[in-house]
Amino acid sequence: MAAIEDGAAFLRTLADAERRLAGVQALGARRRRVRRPRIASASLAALIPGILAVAAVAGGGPGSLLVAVGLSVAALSLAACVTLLLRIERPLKRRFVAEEQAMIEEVNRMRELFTHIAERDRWEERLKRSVRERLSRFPVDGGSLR
Amino acid sequence: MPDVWENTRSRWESVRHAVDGGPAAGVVAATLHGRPGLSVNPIAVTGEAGVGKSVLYDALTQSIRTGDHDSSRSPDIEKHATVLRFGSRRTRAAVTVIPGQLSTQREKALQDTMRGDASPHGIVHVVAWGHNRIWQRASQRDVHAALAADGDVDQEAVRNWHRRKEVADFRLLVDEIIEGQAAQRLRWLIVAVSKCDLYWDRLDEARDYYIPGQAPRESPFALLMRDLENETSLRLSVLPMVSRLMRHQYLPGLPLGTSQLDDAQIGALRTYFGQELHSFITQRNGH
Repeated sequence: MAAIEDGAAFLRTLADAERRLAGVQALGARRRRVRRPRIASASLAALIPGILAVAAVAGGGPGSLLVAVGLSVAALSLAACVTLLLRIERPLKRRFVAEEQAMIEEVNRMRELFTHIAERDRWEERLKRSVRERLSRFPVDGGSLR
Repeated sequence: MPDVWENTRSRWESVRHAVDGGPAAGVVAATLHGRPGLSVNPIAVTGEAGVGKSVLYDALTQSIRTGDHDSSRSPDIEKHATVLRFGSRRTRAAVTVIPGQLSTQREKALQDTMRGDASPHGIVHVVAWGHNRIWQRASQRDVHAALAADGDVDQEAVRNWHRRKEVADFRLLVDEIIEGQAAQRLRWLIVAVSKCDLYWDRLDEARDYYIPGQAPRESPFALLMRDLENETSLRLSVLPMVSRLMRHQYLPGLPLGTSQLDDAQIGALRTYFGQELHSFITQRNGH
């Protein structure tokens, strides 16, 4: 973790944190996009056998071809759901949490140091206001960007 | 007519004497019995991060006792519709605790409660005479490094560090109030000088730091209080307060600060602060 010793280092760290925030927001959006097909495939995997079972109980029941097709689709849906979850969504989540945590730690350091550095480096009011506004775009803790 | 700051000092001193076991001059006993009124009083609790805003709210609603365990950092805006109990008195209030950190949550809280048409009737601004808590290890290390670069790292240096931040934070609030950008229906502001059990032996210094009028050279905080008095018609007060017994870690490696008061004394401080808050909430006119 790099030291934030002066105004220049502070502004560099802030710019890095802003890039990280954009990255975290993009990761969050990607997670939401992946979640939709995963939920859809999970629903399909649960619904098809349910419908087949209800049809069988209700009488007559679907033909064996329909059952075979239905169960195959359900199995494929389940496989797609598991693949999406394990191969894409979980790694994305791990990356998201790690990036978010690192970003918040950096921003909390800047929140603590801001007044000290602004006074020591005699920042103009306009720069102080701009840095305050930029710091105000970050969340306090993890979770709010998910 | 006595000056507003003389009255504030006199009130501060009466609380101090009462806590130290002397007569409680000028303190009105809570004898009124009654139900909470129909009106809901919007109140904002402001102040720097780690100053104890949430714990103060809990103490006022009596949801914690003086000896309760340690608190955690508040991650978000806290909004409460509550009935504040002051002895036998009760008052309805909509209390918003505004996060101290510059953040999206703080901006939202300020927007919802203090800006545009929204305005609390009162603000409890919490300060701690430099006894703020730093939650993260990385930030503690940064503060240590910054102080070491400027000289000795001791309790006084840490207190000064937080007091500078406290003034910068209060200046923003004062500027927004005076310039009419925030809290346009504001009627009163109480400065809660919290965690004062940690510096009870230096309470005079804290008093002179926060209340204008006595020290030969007024502190930056006192000057801001004077600005509020001169530029607004707000009813103002400054009172010592302790929400609960606690130990204070200035920075890892420095001696811990411990409470110099006992449970009963802290209970008395909470009562006096509650009475003041009640009188401010229920006031209908200015000074």
